Amino acid sequence: MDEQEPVQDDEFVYRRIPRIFFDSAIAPPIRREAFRPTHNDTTGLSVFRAAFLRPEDALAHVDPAKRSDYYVVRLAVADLRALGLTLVANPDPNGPPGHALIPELSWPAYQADKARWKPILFELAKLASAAIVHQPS
Amino acid sequence: MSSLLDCPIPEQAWLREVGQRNGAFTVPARLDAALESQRDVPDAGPWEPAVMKLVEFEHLGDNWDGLGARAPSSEMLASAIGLAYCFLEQAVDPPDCVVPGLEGSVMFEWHDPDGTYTEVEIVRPLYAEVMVIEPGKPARHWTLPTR
Repeated sequence: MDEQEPVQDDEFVYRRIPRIFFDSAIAPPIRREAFRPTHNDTTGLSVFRAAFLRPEDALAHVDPAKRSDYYVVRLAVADLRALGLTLVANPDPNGPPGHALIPELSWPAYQADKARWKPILFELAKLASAAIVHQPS
Repeated sequence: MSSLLDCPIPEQAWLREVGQRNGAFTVPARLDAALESQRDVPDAGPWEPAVMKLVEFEHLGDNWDGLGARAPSSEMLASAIGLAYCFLEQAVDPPDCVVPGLEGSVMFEWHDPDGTYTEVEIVRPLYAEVMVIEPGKPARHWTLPTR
């Protein structure tokens, strides 16, 4: 399988979640802010295709001092599509393998229509809360 | 508990909480425990844990997530603490959690047993976005201060 190949419906993707966005006392335990685009997400929100790496490998380029403060969650591409999101293969030679983007959740798109995307981020947080595949050490 | 839905937050009230409250400069004192005036500042009652959390955010620093997140500025934290005192005055229940945003914002969140989700995101000083999602209904959005 090639990283350049289009993302298929039956794939899964990983997303990194800082520890500060997790609280086991709350349902769902993951905060929607974990999916909010930042000013660096100019072309889309970053995820990693599960077929190309282990969950912990998604943390390879996080500041080593903070790496142990991350969860990794696994999301089904079909679930993302059901929320109206698409996935675009976006291999990054300088980052972990299997990089992909959710273009609908770029910084400009989010800023332009927060009322549309905030509820979607909350849905992503609910999905993610049920699929934690890596815990902080 | 008052609902956020019927909780007007006029700009002057918010501004007053950020500046001076009952003769004491509450917010600056909360953000600097070393200030002499801290002794005269009333705590935030049921909102105290939320306020304490906001005070902790002062020490986050940029890149707190290791991927370039921005820390909330002192002005943002002052606004958030001021808003917390506004909600306290309106008898709004304290949030279930307070989290920093990746772009320097601050969020209050409530998760009700019936599945209703409410958030207040202070996105810039003295300006917040509110969202309420009730199960089976479209999300509702408005901003603070109330116009």
